Amino acid sequence: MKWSSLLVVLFLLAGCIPKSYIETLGIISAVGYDLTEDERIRGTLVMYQFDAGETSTSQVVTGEADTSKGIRFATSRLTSHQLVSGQVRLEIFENELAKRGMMKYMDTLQRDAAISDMGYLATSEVPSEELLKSGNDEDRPNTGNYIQELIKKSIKEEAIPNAVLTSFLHDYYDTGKDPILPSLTLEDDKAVINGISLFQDDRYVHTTSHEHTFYIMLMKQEFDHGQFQVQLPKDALEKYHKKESIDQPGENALHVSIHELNSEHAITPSKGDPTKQSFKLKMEGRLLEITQDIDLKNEEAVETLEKEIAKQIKEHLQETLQVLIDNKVDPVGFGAKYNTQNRTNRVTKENWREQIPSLQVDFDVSFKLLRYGISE
Amino acid sequence: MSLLLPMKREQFLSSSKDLLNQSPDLVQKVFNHEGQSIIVQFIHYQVNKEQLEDEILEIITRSTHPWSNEGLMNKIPLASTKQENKMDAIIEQMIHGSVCIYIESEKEATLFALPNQEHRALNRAETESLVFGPQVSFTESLMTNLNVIRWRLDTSDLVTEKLIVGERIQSEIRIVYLKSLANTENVNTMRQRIQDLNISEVEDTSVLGQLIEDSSSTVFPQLIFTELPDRFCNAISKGRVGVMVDKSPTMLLGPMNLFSFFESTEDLYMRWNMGSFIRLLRFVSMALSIILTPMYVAALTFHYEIIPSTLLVSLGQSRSTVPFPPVLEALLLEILIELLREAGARLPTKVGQTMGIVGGIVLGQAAVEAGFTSNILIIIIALSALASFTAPSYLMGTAIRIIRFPMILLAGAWGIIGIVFALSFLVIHLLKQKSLGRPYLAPIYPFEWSDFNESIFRVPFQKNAKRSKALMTKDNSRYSESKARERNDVDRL
Repeated sequence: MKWSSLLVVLFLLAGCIPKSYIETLGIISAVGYDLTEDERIRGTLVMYQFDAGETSTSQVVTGEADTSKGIRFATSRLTSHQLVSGQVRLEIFENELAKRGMMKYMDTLQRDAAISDMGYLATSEVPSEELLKSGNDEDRPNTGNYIQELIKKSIKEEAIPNAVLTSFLHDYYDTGKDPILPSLTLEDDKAVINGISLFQDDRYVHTTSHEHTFYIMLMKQEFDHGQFQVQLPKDALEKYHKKESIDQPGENALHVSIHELNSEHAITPSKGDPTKQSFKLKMEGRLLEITQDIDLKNEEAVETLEKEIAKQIKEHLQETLQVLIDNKVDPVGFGAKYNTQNRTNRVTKENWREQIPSLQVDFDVSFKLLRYGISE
Repeated sequence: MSLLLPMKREQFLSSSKDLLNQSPDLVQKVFNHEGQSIIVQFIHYQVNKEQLEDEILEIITRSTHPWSNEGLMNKIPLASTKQENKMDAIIEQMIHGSVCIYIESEKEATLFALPNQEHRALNRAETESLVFGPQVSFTESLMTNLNVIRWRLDTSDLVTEKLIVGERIQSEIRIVYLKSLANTENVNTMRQRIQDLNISEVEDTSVLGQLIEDSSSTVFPQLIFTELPDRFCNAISKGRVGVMVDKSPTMLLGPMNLFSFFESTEDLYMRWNMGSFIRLLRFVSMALSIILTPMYVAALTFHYEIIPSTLLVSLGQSRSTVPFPPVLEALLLEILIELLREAGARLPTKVGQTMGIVGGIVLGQAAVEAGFTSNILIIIIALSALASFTAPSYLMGTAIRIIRFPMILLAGAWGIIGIVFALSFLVIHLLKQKSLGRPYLAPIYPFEWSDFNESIFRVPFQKNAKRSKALMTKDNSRYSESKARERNDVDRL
C-alpha cells in the first residue's frame, strides 16, 4: 500500500515535466543580433524544423525586440513550432551592437541552462541577418551550421583563437585581460572569417587584419600544429643559393611557409611595473615551402634561415603589439600575468586600461627548423 | 494396510492385478513342476524381453530340482536381485522394470531388475549451440547423463548423491560435486533445499530450479540451466554444485553470479584474447540492449539538447512523419520484435525462417514507408534485440528483454531522470539478489579484484593460478604459480 501510493504520486508528478517532442520544436541552431536604426535589437534565428513531406529542414526567421529573449517571443508568431534554444551552437553579434557592450547578452546565454556553454561566438562586419541569410553554405543544412563548422575547423587548425562562450567569459572576468572573437564578413554571398575583433572588456573596438591574427595568437596561446607564412628580405640568403639553380637568384621575393608549428612561450613581468614585460618565445616547425632555391644541405644556410625567420617574427610581433596598444586592449593578458606574480602595484580593471599605452614588451624569439624534406 | 506374502496362487494373481488397476499390460505366467506352482509376472513393455527369456524363463523351465528362492537366486545370472514380502513394494519394483517371480506359498517373492527404457541417443545441442567445442548435449535419461559426466570427470572424487523428490510421482535427483573442492556449505544448502521440498511432483529441472531459488519474484535467474555436458562439467570442476533430474535434459548449476550468465565455455576454447573480447562484447551488448531504446525515447521526448547536431537533422526528419509519441512508437516496435521472436519459436523450423524474413524485412520496411515508425528507431530496436540474444543463457537474454519495457515507460514519463531511476533500482535489486545464499553481484560487490580474472575477463590459463574466491572452494589454487613461470623446454638455450 505504501509502495503503490508512492508510485502513484511519482507518476502523477511526472505530468509536470513538459514534453518537447522533437518534431514539434523549432530548434534554434544559430542566432544573429543586429542593431536597428531605432536602437532596438533585430534577431535572426536559424532553426531546424521538421515537417512531414518537407525536404528542407531549416528556416531563418527575423524579429525585433528590446531584449535577446524578447526576440524569441517576437519570432514565435512566425512559426507553428515551439522555439527552443537548447541546440544553439553559434551566436553572431554585429559590430555596431558589440560596440555597446556584449555582457548584457552574454549574461542570459550564460545563465540559461538550456544553452550550451560551448557554443561559438563571433562578430560580424555586415548585419548578421545578411550573413545568416547568405546563399552559399556548401551544402550544409543551413548557413548557421556552415559558419559553426567553419569556426570549429579554424580553431582546430589553430588559425583563430578559441571562440567558445566560456573562453570569452573567462577572458572577460580575468583582471588585466581582454577577450577576442573571430570576425566574419561576406565575400561573394559567402560568410568568411576576415580577422579578429578586439574588445575592451565587453565592448568591441577594432578588427585586426588577417596577418595580425597569427601574431596575436602567438602571444596568446601555444601552438601545437599550426602553420604560417613569413616574408623575408629578398637578399637575406643570397650566399646560399644553389649554384646550378635555373632561377636568377634573388629575383623572387623570399617567402617561407612553415607547418607543424610548435611554440612555447614565457611572459616575465618585471617586478613592480606591469608595463615592462619580457616575452620569450621558442618555436619549432617544418619547412613546407621556400620560394628561392636554397641549398638546405648546408647547415649554415639553415641556421641563417632560422635566424632570419626569428627576426621577422620579432618585428611582426612588435607591429602587432603596437596595434593592440593603439586600441588600448590586452588580449594576451600581460596585466593578468603581472598579477599572478606580483603582490604590489596590482593591476585592476580600471587602472590597466590607462597603463596599456605605456606597455613595453621585450621580445626574445628563437626558431628551429625541424625537417625540410629530402634535399637531393 | 499393505498385503503381505505368503499367499495362495489365485490370491497373488488377483491382488497383483488389483494393485495395478487391472492393467492390460500386466503379463502373468504360471509354471507347474512337481506339484509346485511358480508365477512369473511383469509389465511387458518395461522389461527387456530377450534377457527375460534367455536368462530367467529358460532356467526356470529347464530346472529339474524343486524350486526355492535360494535356488533361483543362485541359478539366474542377474546382478540386481531383491527379495520382497510386501505386495506394494513388489508392484512398485515392477513398474520400474523388474520381473517378479513368486513360488507359491513362499514368504518372499524374488525380483529381477531387467529394465527396458526407451530414450533418444546423445544429440547435438540445440538451445545452447557452440561454434567451437564439444557439440553433444544431455538427454532425458539420467543414466545416460551420469554416464556422460562420469566419462568427462573420471575421478573417484566425484560425488553423485541420490535424492528422491515427489509425493505422488517420484523423480530421482542427483546432486553432483567434487568432494575435495566444492564448498560444504553450498552442497548442504542445495541438498537441504531439495530435501525440504514437499511437493506432489517435479516436472523438470527448470521447475526444480524455480522451487529452490533464493528469490522467486525477480526476473533474473539465479541458477544456471544448461544442456551442455562440457559446461556442466566445467562448472563442477571449478567447485560449483550441480543438480540432475531424471527425465530432464537440462542440468542445474549453482551458486552463480550475474556475470557467469555471460560466460560461455567457448571463451575457454578460444585463445584468451579472443575469448576476452567476445565476453566483453556480451557485457557491452547487454548494456546497449538495456539503454539504447530508452535513451532514444528520452532524447526525443525531453532532451533534444543532447542530440549531436550532426544527428539532429536525420533524427528529426525520420520522426516528422510518425503520428505517435516516441514512447508509443518504441513500445510498438519492441512488441513487434517480441512477437516475431515468439512466433518464430513456436513455428516449425522451416516456417520459422520465413517468419523472420516476413517480419524483419516486410514489416520493418513497410512500417517505415507507411510513416508508422522512424527508420532510426528500427535500427535501434533491431540492434538492441540482437544484443539481447548474445547472452549465452537464454533465460538471462529474456530477462534483459523484459526489463527494457519498464525502462522505456520510465524514459517516456521522466526522460533521463527516469532512466537513471530505473538503473539505480536495477543495481539495488541486483545487489539484493543471492544465489544459494552467495552474493549475486560478486565480484563487483563484494569487490574482489582477483575474481575479475574469470568472471569478467578471460585471462590466459598461465596467469590464472587461483580459483574464484566467490565460490569459497576447499582448495584455492589450480597450480603453483612459481612453477608455471619456469620454462623447461628441452631445447632451451
